[in-house]
Amino acid sequence: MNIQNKTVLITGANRGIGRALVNEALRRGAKRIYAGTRGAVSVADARVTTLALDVTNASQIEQAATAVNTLDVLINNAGIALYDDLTNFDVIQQHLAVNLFGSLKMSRVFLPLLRRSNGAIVNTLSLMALAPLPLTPAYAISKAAAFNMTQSLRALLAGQGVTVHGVFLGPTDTDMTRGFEIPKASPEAVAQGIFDGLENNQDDIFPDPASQSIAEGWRTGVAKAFERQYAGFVPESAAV
Amino acid sequence: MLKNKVAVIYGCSGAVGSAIAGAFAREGARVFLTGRNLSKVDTVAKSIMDAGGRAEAAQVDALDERAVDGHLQSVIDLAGRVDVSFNAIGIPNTILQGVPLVDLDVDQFLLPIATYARSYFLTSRLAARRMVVNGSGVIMTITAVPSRMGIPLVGGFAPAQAAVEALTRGLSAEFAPHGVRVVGLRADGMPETGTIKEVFGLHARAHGISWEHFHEMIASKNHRRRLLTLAELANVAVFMASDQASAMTGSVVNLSMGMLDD
Repeated sequence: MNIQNKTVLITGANRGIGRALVNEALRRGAKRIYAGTRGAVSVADARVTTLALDVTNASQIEQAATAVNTLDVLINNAGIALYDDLTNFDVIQQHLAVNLFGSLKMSRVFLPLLRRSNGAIVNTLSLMALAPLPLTPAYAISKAAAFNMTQSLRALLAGQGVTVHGVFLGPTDTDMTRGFEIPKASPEAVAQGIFDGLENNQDDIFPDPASQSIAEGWRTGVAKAFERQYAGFVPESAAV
Repeated sequence: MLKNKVAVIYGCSGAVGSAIAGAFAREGARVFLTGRNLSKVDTVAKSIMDAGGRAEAAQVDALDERAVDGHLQSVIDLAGRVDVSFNAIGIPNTILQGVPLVDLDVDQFLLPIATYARSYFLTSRLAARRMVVNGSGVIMTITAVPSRMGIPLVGGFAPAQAAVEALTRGLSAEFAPHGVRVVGLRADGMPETGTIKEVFGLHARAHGISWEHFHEMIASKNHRRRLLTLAELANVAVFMASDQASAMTGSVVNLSMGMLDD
């Protein structure tokens, strides 16, 4: 899907990849961008509307839905990442609340609008959805769960005209990776990669050099083959 | 391979028309690009000129006999002759494909048949009138695999492509004796194009699977396990337009990557 003249909602839009997505969407001619954020965001463009949006707050999500009357693309980008060692279950719950349930709740609430427009859901995931860095296992668990949820949503919504995309992000230069000294992609390049992937109808988007290196292997691999096999078993009356 | 050939291309707002125009220009042809959206056609012409090619853009509705004729006359006035006419027009498939024949609206069924046949008939015979005078020329078009293969949910698109292929043979029978060759290129769906980005989506949705899954299903049915690229199509088009393809007329080149037998 090309986003020219389309309406896009981006969560976690105040900084990092979310902020870069807002700018890239403007550059590609989106008609309106809803920038969901817990804090303040100031974008000097009349096409951007800010929404108070903490994706763990159900009433804020419902409130946001009343403020949006048409939507083509929902980008579930808001996420958290804390260091842990799997000894604190609260930390795991926290990551699941934002990275899994936040995205799923947003998708469910905005689905009627997306069905109407034959729209798209884009979930920012991570290469850690496929294998964890043991420094942030709770984060990796939540991304793996969000990835599997993305696959299910894709199969459940395919017959309803809503496409579902997962973005496998490698290390990106944002506050989330601050202090970690490794090669990182710029948020701008990643945002471009995400919208390019959406335009090319890719289920799984690999927007940066680190993730691109595994894209071919992923697409021709056994895990993807399983997903395709299982996708056929969608119940007749699938109601998400 | 096409040094100093004068080529007129219809449908240059689209991916195929612009790819063909670019390839012809790179091979030395002087290309006259046409389409309904002048600003898009102009952009393509400019990029060809930036790359050192000779290109001009014009707004022509390839369903309008007078517009096509008037434009051809202006090409003759400028360049002295027409050597190649390539019809690459297309219409949006949004309501034409992805619908079962048992439900498809009759006018939506007929629309592609009428449009592709009418446009190809007009651009071909008007070009032929000029080419026959010089005793040489090549008339070309692009068709699609459903012309020869039964596929569900393609509506009137398949009969439309079959009509164009039959017309290719009839045009050749009448024009080739006068030195004008008529050939088609039958391509599988090209994922780089906006058309296929949409069409595969329509079919994927009807099957309840993702675009990528549908793409993989189609690609796995041919010998190369992948679909044609615009560059590959353009390479064949260049050869078929050139004097080296003098043996080929009344024929549709099979670019199905092995999926279709001849």
